[in-house]
Amino acid sequence: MPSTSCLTAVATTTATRILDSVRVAHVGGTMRTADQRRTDAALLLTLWAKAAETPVVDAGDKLWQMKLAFLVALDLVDARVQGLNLSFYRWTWGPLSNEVYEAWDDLTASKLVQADEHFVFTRTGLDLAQAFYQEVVCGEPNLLVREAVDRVAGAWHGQPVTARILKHVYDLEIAPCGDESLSPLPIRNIERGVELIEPVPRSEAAGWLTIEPGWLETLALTFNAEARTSLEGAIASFRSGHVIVG
Amino acid sequence: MRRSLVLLDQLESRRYRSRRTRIEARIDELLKEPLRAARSERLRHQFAGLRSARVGDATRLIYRVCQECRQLGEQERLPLDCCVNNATADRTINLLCLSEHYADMPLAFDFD
Repeated sequence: MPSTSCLTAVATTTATRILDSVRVAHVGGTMRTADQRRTDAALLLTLWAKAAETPVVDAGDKLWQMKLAFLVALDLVDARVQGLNLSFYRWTWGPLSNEVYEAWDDLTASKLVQADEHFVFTRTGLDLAQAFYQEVVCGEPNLLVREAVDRVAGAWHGQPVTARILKHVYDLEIAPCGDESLSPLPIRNIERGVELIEPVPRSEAAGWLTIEPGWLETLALTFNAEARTSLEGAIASFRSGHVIVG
Repeated sequence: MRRSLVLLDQLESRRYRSRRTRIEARIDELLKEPLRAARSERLRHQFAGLRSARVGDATRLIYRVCQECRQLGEQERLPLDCCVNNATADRTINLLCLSEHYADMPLAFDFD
């Protein structure tokens, strides 16, 4: 009977060979439309708001929010639902997505969250998260997306404890992208740079996030500082009676 | 119809001057069918009570229809003068500003 160390060595060699065969050059981002990018940011905002016990006090740090995003994205990929357009690859602290960084950039630039060591929701950000959940995510066509968000947010609801979610994610077993025939491996054993999950293409999706055009317009305006400034000026113009009739 | 000074300034600006005729034509269409013309969409959440209509590829006109705003009870979110004093007729359309909120964010092609 072979020794344990011998088996471990064989397994490691096999895993390395398999990973080498599926390793893809990381391209640094998913091709998303501007609408998809904004919708991703709004859905992540909703997720993070629901998971945090008091999002206006502490909505978790980057690692916490990144892992929550990964868990929902993984859930959606498993259900073949195109809900979040995020790619994740293995990096130093587990799954990482460049698109989540873009979401943080967009959300902080729009003053929906404030970024410090831990994120903090602004009142506007929390209102948007709640409205987006109620009016979009809870819509009948989005049942699968809502279930994924509720599952993850419900499981991790409370005070963000990063070490706990990190351990959970590291222990998850996943088959890296590129070859579905591969056996799943614990994420902690997957090498840096390996693609973990990629968005479900619409052509292969069993469902997708449906969002009305009025909400797409609303998000576009929300995430555009110059447009918001013009609008605020116009509203002030009306309120002060500086209008032209006819 | 009422126009904000911001909109008037925008229409005179270099950015929109050459497109003014086309934009005014769209505004005329909106006056006839304020809820349907120019692929008008009702905005939500913090912009509830306002509408966005396409007056160019990426250019939108933000406006409010008094009748709709009152029917939906959306005066409180972003109140204008008419929401406070009810001095305008229901058929009044308030043109707030042109907006390029669909123009700024490029597609996320990043192959570095």
